[in-house]
Amino acid sequence: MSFYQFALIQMALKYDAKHDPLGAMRAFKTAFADVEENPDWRSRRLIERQRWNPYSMEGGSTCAVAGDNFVVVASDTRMTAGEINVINREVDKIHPLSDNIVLTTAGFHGDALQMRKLLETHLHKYRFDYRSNMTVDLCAELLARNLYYRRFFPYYTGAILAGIDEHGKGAVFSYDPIGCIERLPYSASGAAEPMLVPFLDCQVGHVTLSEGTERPKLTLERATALVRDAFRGCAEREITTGDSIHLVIAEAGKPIRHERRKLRED
Amino acid sequence: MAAVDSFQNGVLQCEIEPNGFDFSNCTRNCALARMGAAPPRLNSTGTTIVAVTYKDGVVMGADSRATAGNIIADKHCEKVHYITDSIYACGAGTAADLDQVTKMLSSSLRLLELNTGRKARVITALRIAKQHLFNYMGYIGAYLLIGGVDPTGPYLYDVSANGVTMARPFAAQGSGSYAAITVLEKDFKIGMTEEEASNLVQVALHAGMHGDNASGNSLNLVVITPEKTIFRGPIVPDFCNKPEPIESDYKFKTGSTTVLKKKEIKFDIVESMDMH
Amino acid sequence: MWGLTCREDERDTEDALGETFDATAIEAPVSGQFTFPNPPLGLQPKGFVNAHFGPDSSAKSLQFRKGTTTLAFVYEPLTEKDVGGIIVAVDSRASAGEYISSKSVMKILDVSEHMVATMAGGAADCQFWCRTVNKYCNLFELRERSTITVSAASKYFANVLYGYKGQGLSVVCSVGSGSLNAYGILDTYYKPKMSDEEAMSLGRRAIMHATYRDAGSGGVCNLVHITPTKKIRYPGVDVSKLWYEFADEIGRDIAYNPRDD
Repeated sequence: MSFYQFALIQMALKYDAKHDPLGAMRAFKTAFADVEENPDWRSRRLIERQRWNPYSMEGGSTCAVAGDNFVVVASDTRMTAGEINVINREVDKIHPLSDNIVLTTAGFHGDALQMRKLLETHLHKYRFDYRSNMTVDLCAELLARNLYYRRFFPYYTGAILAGIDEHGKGAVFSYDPIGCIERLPYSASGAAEPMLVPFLDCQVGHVTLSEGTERPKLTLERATALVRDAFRGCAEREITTGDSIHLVIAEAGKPIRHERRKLRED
Repeated sequence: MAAVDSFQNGVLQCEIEPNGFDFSNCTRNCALARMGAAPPRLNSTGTTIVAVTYKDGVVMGADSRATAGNIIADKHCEKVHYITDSIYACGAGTAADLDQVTKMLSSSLRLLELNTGRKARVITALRIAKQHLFNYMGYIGAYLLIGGVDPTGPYLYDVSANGVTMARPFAAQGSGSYAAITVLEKDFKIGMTEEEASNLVQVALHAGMHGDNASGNSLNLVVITPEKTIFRGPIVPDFCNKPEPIESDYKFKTGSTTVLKKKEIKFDIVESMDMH
Repeated sequence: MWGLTCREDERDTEDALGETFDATAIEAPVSGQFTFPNPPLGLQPKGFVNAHFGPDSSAKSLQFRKGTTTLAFVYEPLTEKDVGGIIVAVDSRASAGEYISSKSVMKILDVSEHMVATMAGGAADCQFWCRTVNKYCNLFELRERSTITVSAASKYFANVLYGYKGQGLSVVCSVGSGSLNAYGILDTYYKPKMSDEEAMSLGRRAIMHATYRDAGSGGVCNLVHITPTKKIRYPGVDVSKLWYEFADEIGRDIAYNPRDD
């Protein structure tokens, strides 16, 4: 008697074919799906591999606003494990790469550091090869390509690259994890992105104002004040954002300035 | 009170071994897990609740943050629930479940008090809660610390959603409990005064609110003594304050919004009601 | 790491930070010799990326940007004054999961002097591969001293993408989730012979209707007109403005109002 015949008899005994002719079939389908998903021959190691997770979400938010001759980059300094536990309160998530290029990231800090290292090396090599500094447009395109090169094993980051372009204007480039690039007047990324962006849309983009209304000019003072207020608001309602604000201000023809402000710590 | 001390001693005997942590059940638990017994699931409940017994009574406390995912849904939510005049429960877990369970406890104990003409005992509250929760196999997501004082002394019980209960001299629950329990483990002593106990609860809550993203904003305390029950709160710790106020003014001038359409509705007042 | 070979003496193992660093990582990968690094342990890229960046992953703010409604049609000039050609119209919304991650994306990407590609599906995929095709077209034109045909470029594009079959790339040129609504308008109002004005307003109208009924589309309507001689880009028009114009035209109220008693 073959295995198949044996199984048939077993099934007939177990499932009443007269009253529920499809019962055995249903059970078989469930079992089949189960075997497909979790075959006996799959080793423990393979199961481990499937669940292998190289990433961790380390919270925090970051944003950048570009003006006529400046760019303001801000982020909070909290690092969390998942959503709940605080693991560091003084992390720098803004990385000035040169006098006119600033990288800022939310997401996995390990990948952020790797990205910074890669860009720094590129900038270094560029200076060596061409005897001039890379412009922010070029660096932005470089970052987009390098993010895309990791299309099948992406960096776990939401990056923003900001800086002063060759015309002396502020530039903000926003990316998704695999390098969809876009130049914008302002951008945010991280856990509080859905809170920061509407605020900036309203105050910087003036999207809600009717046509005749007076629009305040975006000065450096206004931009920094807005960004600080945005983070104060987010710290009230977003649990992974807090501790302090790290502001990096790049102005055309001036060295990069840093500023730190306290935020609530709970 | 001698009765209290012997009770606390008995519980502490199981709680605190002279050599620190007790790992003797690890092997057994692993074996049970391999035999198919599901290990208890640890829920992140997004809160910090702390309770401590002292010489005469119980001090219980909770933070006041309610979260929905990574968003703070309520900054001033009340997590210390009334059960009877001398029994209170702190809750972690699903907010709606906690409200219903504590409401049910409170009403059944009130009925009991009216029927018997005596004050309800804490153990009765515990039994009703655990039988109710066990019936629902953990699907009611209520993690409670039930504490109170009855004629036989102060008591504190820890109730899990699946019906597991423990009598404890001090306890913490919720996602901030890891931080809070370290403070309790370090500083808890048998036979503390009311002041010592409420200070300890506050410090433990501070630890939970500081180290845990899902707890914070402010804390509420309830001190239950044989004579009376005192509510304290909301107390806002220093680190929960906004260090700097909002800088700019965000008032919109009239006419900032585009008017797409206007409609005038004319009405006459036929009848008015004085709402005062 | 990149499937590149590098001579040992060219390799500098010290990077700017003074730590060891894979020198090949800073070389721009050369197409043809280049393979994308896959996740280790033999994991399938598609499953891996979906597990960590997909809709069910814990990375809510890190989902990939996706684009939606795009359309294009060919028409003949109606009168002597018109030039005819191709109208390409797109919306400008990029969504990351349920979140509108950008409302100003340029979804008409240049492929060559006289060619564009529209972007729907994975935004990064489209941007990167259109750039690859763009490079191929430029090289082709330099090498062959003649312009590349559209079918040659699209064949090359298809062949490149086929090489990554089953790995989760999402490149859709022309169409998208709002396309059903857009097709409805195009099928109703399209005529083989149209004036330029008419053709452009048809393109905008189709995009407007798609954005009105599809949550995944919105923003502004960008438009490109490719004539037999040149390519003209038109500035974006806000789709809500288009809707108000449309409502005005058919005499419909912009807001629904129940009739008074």
